Amino acid sequence: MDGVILGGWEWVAAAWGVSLGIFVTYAVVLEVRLRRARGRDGAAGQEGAR
Amino acid sequence: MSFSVQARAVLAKDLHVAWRGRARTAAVVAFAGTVLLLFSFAVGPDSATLAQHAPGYFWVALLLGSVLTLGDAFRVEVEDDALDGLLVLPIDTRALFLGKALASTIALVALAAALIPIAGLLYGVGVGGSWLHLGVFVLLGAAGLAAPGTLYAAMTARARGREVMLPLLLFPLVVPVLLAAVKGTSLALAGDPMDQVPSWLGLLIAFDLVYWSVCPLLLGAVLES
Amino acid sequence: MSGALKRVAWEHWVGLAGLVLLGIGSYVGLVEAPPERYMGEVGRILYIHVPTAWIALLTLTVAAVAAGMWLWKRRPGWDDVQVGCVEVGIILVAMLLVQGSTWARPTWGVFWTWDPRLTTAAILLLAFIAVLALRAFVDDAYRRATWTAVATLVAAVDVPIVYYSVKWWRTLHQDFSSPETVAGSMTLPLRINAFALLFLATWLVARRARLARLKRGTRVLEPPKRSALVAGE
Repeated sequence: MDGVILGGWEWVAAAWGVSLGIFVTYAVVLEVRLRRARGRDGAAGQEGAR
Repeated sequence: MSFSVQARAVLAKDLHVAWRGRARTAAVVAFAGTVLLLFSFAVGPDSATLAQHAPGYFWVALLLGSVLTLGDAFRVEVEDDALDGLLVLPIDTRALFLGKALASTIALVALAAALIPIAGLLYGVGVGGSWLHLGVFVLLGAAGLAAPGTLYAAMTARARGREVMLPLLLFPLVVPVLLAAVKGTSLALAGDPMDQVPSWLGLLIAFDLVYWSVCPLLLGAVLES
Repeated sequence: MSGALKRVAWEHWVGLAGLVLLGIGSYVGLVEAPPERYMGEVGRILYIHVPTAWIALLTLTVAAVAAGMWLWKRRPGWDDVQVGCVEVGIILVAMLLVQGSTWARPTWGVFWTWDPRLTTAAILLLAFIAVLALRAFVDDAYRRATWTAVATLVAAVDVPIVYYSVKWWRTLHQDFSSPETVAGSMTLPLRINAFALLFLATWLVARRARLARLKRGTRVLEPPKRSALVAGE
């Protein structure tokens, strides 16, 4: 590598944004799946399992 | 029956079944040969490029053909529920694994032996290095495909979507085998002035040792459920 | 409702702690820390990238441990942990690949190189996606748990072999220099983000395990051995 890479904030933002976006998407999908599974159980909206 | 007798009985049975179904084996050879031919069309008629990458094409064709061969090991058991009969016998599942994996290794070596002349003719390469190295890499590469392949075949033969599952599970796993075998084959063809063979041989032996010791232990869990 | 706090499952508190830590770690890494000496601002990607790599490997290691525990004890809880770890591990490795590519583009000029770590991560991702796909094709719960455990163990054993094979394969060609040295000012945000991701991953694994337990619990509490009657997921 020769010298300092100038700028590059857009890459930092992309790395942070896209990867955490994947994380958040998975978390949201998971919560939706949990809510559906509870709905089938007839205990909607509650922390059913303990 | 002792362990080795059991393993040999399974090996003999599977080789017998493979010999009875040799029309299918011939079809697999024809399929892998077609793959070799397709590579030359995909790459173009530049014979220098083809000769340079011949080991890579050869191993990818073998890998694609191996899925069909490996799947057979348990497909024949699942059809007609022969597996249930096999499990009723007082047989050690590790012996069962060794017998089946050895049979698959032999079948893959035979497939490779049939493909080598085809690849040599198509790509215009000859063995300029060492026949011994070529033989060792083919044998160890086939063994590296057979060990995880046999274990996965035991699962996928009884799962839905078996055609897609076996390659999907096997291909990422055998990347080290592919790397080492392709490198080793190129060195066997072109000679080995830099003495690189030992490191690739070591990698292949390490892979084989790990999977030939881990997979037999896991087959019991796969078959009991 | 009374006792609303009690209704909040424990893993949410872990997740909240992870979020707070991630906020602090990101602030320190993005604002407080000076630009990296050679890579400039782009070096800040490492503050999230390196912790992600640690936690991804840790999650998949726990998946292999849970797989071994299932094969040993056959308690259904281990299957719940196992599927949680495999799924979250896949998510973390996917994040890792995105971060790695966006780091590689400004530093090396390409999104993809055959760097041993990048390649190993990609193979790891494919191998564990295959494990999840296998799960989807098996209907019997007991058999699904066992086969997942076997496939997870077989894939986990492969990780070091893949890494060294790609490394050797690479070193016989040209090699990219890699920023292995970590300066002192980098360690603080790295550590904070590592704990943040550890907590967040724990949160997700616990949620996924809870989902698995819920689905299992709708029909039977314990999958009987060798039964084809257990409902699929």
